[in-house]
Amino acid sequence: MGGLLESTAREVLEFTTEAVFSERYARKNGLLQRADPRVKLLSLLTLVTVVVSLRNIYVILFFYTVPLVFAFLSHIRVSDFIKRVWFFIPAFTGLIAVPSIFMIPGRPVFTIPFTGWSASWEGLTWAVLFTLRVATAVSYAILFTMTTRWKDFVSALTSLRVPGAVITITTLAYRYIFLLAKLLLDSMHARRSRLAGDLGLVESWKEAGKHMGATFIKANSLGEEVYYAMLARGYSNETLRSEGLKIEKTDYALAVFTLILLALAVVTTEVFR
Amino acid sequence: MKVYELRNVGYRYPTGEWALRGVNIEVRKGETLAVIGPNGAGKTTLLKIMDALLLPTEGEVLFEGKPVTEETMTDKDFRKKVGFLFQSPDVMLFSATVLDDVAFGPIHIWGKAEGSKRALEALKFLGIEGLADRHPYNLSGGEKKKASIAAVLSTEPEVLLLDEPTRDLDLKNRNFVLDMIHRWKGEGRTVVVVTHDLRVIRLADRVYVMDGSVIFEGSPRELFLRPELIERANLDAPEIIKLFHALGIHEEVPMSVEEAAEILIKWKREQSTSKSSTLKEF
Ligand SMILES: Nc1ncnc2c1ncn2[C@@H]1O[C@H](COP(=O)(O)OP(=O)(O)OP(=O)(O)O)[C@@H](O)[C@H]1O
Ligand SMILES: [Mg+2]
Repeated sequence: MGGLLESTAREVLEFTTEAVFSERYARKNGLLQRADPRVKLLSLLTLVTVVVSLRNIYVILFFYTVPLVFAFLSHIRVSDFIKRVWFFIPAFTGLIAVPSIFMIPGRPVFTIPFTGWSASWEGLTWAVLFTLRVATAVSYAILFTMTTRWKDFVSALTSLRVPGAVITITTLAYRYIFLLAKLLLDSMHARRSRLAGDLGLVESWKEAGKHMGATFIKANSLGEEVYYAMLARGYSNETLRSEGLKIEKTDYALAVFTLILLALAVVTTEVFR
Repeated sequence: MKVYELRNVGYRYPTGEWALRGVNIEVRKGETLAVIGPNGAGKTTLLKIMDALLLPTEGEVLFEGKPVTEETMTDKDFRKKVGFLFQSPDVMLFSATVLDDVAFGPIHIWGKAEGSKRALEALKFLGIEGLADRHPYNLSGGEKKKASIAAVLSTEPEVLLLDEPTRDLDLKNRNFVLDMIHRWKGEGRTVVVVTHDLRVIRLADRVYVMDGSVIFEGSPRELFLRPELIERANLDAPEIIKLFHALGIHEEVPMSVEEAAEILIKWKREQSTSKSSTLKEF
């Protein structure tokens, strides 16, 4: 059992590290990879705002399919994309969606025996809508991260006049998380190799807790080291001028498409009111 | 000309611990300096102070005659002149690909086009251009070390601060680093190298032994004449030197097998001539 817990944690970690840091897809030559990061970023912000304000399930479903099409056009395996999106959803929404099924008053659908908790129709609908909306918003975000290289993202922030301090913190956070993930994995492997048998479930949770604590302390001092390493190589809290960013046809098309989606959302909201 | 001058430098970490106390060190232009000492002696701290990453708690550091201050920390000229190879390559590599990582320094100094070009050259020089698109996370220990050496080289610094450059490397790559230090020496670059590797020490013009403060300064040969210092620095004395001590030869210390052979041949000849002369006296 403890072994299962640990191997799950390890898989999650390996998956995220690979997903976030390899930039495997971001370096392909697909539709969105060619788009200007500034246009992509602005589109992303617009569309996420639109999605979280949607109320109608069909409209949400339509908005959900859009990133799938774009993933395909950007040479991303659609199954990979869907997996990556839904990977994070249960943790995100489970905490909010599941309780609300029982908390929102309305027409009862079923009751959990002995507890007196009953799920309402309204609660269920809300939970489904909520989850779908989150999944859709996350789809856009993941599509952005999968098709944008980190340094292009930073250039985009710079040329959109985001304050230098914010960019520095973002940059450091990225490096730090990278390091933390690495450290966590390495020390998990190291610990595994020193552990003879499996621990019980409670024991392994306790161990994991201690382990995480120690790793955070280690990562903290490493974070400082990374900052020194960046300074040593000429980093000076200022960001680089964004060179080589140019708005092209793809970008105009993307901007127009974003506006069409925005208009669509406004119109449908009026119609289905 | 003096590149560095450390006057009575002390450093205390925020935890309250003094890592260095009363350190006086001079580094002349073009010389190769080895810094040795046991773990926790403050060697890394010293290099960080020299690279203006830490400012001394007490005392003063001069770089090319000018005091190192808060401004030096982000000074482009200073960063261009001085390169620092960190002890742990994991700290140095933080980008998505090896090429991005090596280009980090040059791009900050020369801008994107020139920086990327130089980064690629550095990778080629180290023979790891094949790793350019790899994620630093998946590299072997030695590959990481080479990538971080490329990162330092790519800015072509005049002054190199190296924290254990040969650790994690196999024999071939250790030799490569030794050759590189040798070449830098020939090019007139200044090298300060922290090391436990005797072959690196042999390359140095001068050696400092540290343990919280400087406890010895002299040539490598003078160092090897003093076994108690070698022990204090937790260095593993080379077998030949141990042999000479065992034979009771203290006047001369060999720096290589060839030198050892020479000394021994000479010694044997002297022994035999003195023996034959005593025989004749009978
Ligand atoms: N960030 C820090 N905070 C507090 N104390 C530190 C920190 N870094 C180093 N020290 C302490 O300062 C002393 C000198 O450390 P330093 O890293 O300079 O040693 P070193 O000679 O490089 O050792 P090694 O050979 O193990 O690399 C040690 O006692 C160490 O514990
Ligand atoms: Mg050290």
